[in-house]
Amino acid sequence: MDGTSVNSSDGNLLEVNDVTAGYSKRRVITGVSMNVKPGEIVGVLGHNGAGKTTLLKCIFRMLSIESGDIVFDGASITKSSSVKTVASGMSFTPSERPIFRDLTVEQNLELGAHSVRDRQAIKDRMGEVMELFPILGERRTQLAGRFSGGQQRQLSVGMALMVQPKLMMLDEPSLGISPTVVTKTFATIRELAAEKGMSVLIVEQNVKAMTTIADRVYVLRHGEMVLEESGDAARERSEWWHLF
Amino acid sequence: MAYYGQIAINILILLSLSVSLNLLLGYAGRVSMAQSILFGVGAFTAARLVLPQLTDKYNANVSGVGYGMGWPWWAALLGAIVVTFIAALVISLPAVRQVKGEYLILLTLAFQLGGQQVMTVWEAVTGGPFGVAGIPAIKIGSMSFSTVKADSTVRFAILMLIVTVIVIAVCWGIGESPFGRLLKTLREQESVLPSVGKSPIRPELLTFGITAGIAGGIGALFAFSQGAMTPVNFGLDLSILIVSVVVLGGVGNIFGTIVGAIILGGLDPILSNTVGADAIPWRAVIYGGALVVMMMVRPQGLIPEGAFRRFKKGKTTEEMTPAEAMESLSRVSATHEVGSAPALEVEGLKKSFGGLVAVGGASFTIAEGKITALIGPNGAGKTTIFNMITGTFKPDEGTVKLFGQDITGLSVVDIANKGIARSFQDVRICEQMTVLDNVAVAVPKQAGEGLTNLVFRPLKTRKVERATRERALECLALFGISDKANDLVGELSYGDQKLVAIARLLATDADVLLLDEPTSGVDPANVEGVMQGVRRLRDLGRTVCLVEHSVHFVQQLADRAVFLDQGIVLAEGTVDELINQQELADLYFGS
Amino acid sequence: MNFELLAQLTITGIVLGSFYALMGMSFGIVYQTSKIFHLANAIPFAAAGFAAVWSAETFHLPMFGAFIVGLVAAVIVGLLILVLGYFPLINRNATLLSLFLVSLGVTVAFPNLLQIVFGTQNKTLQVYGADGTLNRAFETQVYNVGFLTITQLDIVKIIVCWLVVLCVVLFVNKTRFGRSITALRTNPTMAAAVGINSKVVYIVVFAIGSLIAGMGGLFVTTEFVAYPTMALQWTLIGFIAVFFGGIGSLPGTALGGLLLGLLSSWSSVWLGVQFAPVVVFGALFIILLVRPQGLFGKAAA
Repeated sequence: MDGTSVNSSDGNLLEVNDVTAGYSKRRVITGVSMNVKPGEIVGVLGHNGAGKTTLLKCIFRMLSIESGDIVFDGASITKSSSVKTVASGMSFTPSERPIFRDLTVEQNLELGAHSVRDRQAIKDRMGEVMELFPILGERRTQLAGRFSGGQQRQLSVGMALMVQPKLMMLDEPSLGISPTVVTKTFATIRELAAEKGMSVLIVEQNVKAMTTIADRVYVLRHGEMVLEESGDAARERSEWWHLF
Repeated sequence: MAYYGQIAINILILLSLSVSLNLLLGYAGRVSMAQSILFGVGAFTAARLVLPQLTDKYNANVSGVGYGMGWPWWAALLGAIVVTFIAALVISLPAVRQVKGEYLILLTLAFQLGGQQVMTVWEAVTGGPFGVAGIPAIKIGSMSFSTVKADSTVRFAILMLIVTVIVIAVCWGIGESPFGRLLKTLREQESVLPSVGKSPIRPELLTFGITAGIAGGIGALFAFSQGAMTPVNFGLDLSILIVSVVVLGGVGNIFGTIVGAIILGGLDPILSNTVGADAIPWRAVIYGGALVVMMMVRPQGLIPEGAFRRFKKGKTTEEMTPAEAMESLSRVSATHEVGSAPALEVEGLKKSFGGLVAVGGASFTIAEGKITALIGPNGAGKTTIFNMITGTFKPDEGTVKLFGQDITGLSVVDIANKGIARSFQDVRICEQMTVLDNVAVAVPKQAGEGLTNLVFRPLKTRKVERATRERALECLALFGISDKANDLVGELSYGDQKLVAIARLLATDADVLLLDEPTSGVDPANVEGVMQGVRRLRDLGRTVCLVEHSVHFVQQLADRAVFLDQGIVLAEGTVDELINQQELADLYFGS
Repeated sequence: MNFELLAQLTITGIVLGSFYALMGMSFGIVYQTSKIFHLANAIPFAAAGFAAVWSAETFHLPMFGAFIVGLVAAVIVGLLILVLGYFPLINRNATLLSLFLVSLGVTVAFPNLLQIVFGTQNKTLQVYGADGTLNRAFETQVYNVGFLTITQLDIVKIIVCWLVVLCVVLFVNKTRFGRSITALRTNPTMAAAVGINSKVVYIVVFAIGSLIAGMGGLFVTTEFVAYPTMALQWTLIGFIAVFFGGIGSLPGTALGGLLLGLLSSWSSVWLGVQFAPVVVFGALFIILLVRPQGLFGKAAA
């Protein structure tokens, strides 16, 4: 690892310790360690196929891990499952098809709150989300599959907000949307994180968009962490090729 | 004696039906629930062909015997085989088009149950629920073979044993031949066959036909031996029993099927002597239950496929070094005129999916004998271009030329045969096959892949097969993995599996090799080995074009690179030239 | 063909097609969610029939009491197959083929077990009357409307079948739980991301499928008799309705079933009733050749 190292201290919301994982024989990430502090926006950068999505799926406990340990909110979740991680305050938004295309906006948001039992809370949060993204309110009864890429992204973020996560994980939110919408989406994420005090972990290939809002970035190359540095240092960096 | 003879006959019939189904289910990986009804189709066809012609109308009602065409038994046997062969081809048509497991299960199941219904109502052929009686026995000279009399029962048992041995030999011969290698590849990774220039349709259809034809022939013998039969003999339970024999014994393994048939077939007399009238339902409970338990605890069956591969004449060829392999392989002459045109010339290639432009007019050339990488941000259209070059997608516009020859719009198989082979991101190696077989399947022009050659030109087939294996070994030796030739690919590390996939590419003799993410998923410790392998392809004079997302590795591997964004070529040059351009960096990392 | 015959055949076809639609619902909801080729759906069908006959005789239950016992038995065996047979393999990420083989094993073992326990003879659903004698539970009445003939049971069948279709479609499309089913079917990754427990969804879906199969079994038992192998052909009809109507579309499955029923009824003019299975198979064969996604199915993306 090179770059400025950040002291790892207790009080991390998420800690990934030396995790190795993959699909049967195919090893995708090797000995990866990282952490996210409360209220922090962390970006994991890397080329396509570097293992970014796999890392997120491991954290979310959708994928079994070969070795290593994951701690969330003070408790080990290595042996947990995605059903439990959602309930414990984590959200995960996949990069492709992050919504249910055959359902309406409202139904999507309700499904986003699948793990929430309190009907009133669901209603309140849905109101909040529609305030945040007015277009969703206007088209609440329309099928989500008919939306533009940017609107689908907004809906997916809205679905994540329905569980009021402590840690919001987004897989390549810039995928398939135009540069101006990328800027807007990332700005919204920044505001949300500050307002709600939630941590955000974003996996991205779009280095510039990520570094504008990140407090800290990691770079994953070919399944290995090759860099950890502060957001400021990353913004200053002129050469990225050797990390990809 | 006759009692044991009948038991032996029952087991042998079950064995033959199962061994032939193993060809379809075990080797080709296609489930058929219709083996029993095809057996019945053969039986009734043979019965109608062999029964005497109706000469006197008055006798028809008094004799109580069916009438037919009056053919000799051997002609009726052939007729039964042909009819079932054709019936199976017809049923499998939609399944071959669909190539989806559940469609085939549904179709064969419907054919089985529908067929049973037809058999019970179509009295003109099957005699309805009471069946057909009076079917003449096989007669050779003065000897007759049937289960009607005690001495002829034993004779028929011996005849059936001979037939069964022949069926086993035929199925073994087909299964372990180059044709069988095609079938196993079809089972494990269907898409690989077209990519190495071989059509999967013909072997698949033929296998359906052969499996059914054998069942039909056995059905004919059953009819001749019993003299009488009813549609009840050909129910779904028998189909399930046959599938159970194959699965319990171990799919893709004829020894397993033999063991399975003896165990399940042998249950019958044992149960008859213990539970009496309930023997048949008890047997069904036992094999049904065994099927469930087996899938839980030992899904590979009693004798797993490949259990004996280590005893197969390993013909310990003295280990070849990579350098020797290089020397030997470089003698394979190129199929095109050297230096005539760029290896690959892509001109104005366009493709959109439902209004979304994936590739918007890409033009570039790939120089002969070099490693060229396609790079670019996510969604640049790299894989789509690969798919258009290899014929998986038809381009909306534009042309692809291979050494100056237009190959746009040809099928995947044709393009592969013209000399473009590709690898896949997810390796697509056949885990249950040996390393050697994985590579050998790609060697072009194998005599043993045609059934007529297997039967009529066995010597030539053997000679070609020896050469094929030798070539495959050389390809493996080039990457230093020839010592693993007899291992199952599933046992190798992922890095070695990638090398097997690259060796398979090399074995196609194609001049242009397209590699889709050759290093992805490989342990950092093994990446160097894979990159070394790719370089060896170039050193052999092959033209390599690869998609690789890690610029880090592209820098170490590629001689040239083509930078794409949104399906348009923005720059070509050496990797270092490209990464020094600021606007490309902005595109790649955002701005 | 004269009008009267056509009208009568249409009535018969609707009765038949309604039952096909019912069987299509049973398999359709299971298959579209789990992708398991659940041939063992035949087992709740037969279990319901046998449980009803047995309970009516043993516990002197009235007809509807016996029906409830039958339906409960259907749901229980359906869930046992799921939990003991499929879950262990699903946990291991086994192939769909091995799941089918488990299904096949159960499908062959169960009716034979029934035969060993209850014998081969047909079972008539009989209830104890007020006078303490055992009588056939239900004698259907025949209505003649003009030149048309229809039985009381046929009318009940049509109503019940389409009520079930309606309930299932409404349940899947309108309820909160139904949306979990759609979510899991259309986007499993996202379903996991929002915390849907696929096991729970499977259990509910198999319970519904088995319940409906059980209803089918009760219809056959009431109208005719119960026997060990009674279920297989009807189960297969359900499968065909699903593939014919279009996988993933429950209304399509129901309409597909109805259409198959009408086809087999109309064709009986030329072919004879016994050939109905051949007509159904032929229709499936042609659809799979020319429109593999099924009549009302969406083309695969």
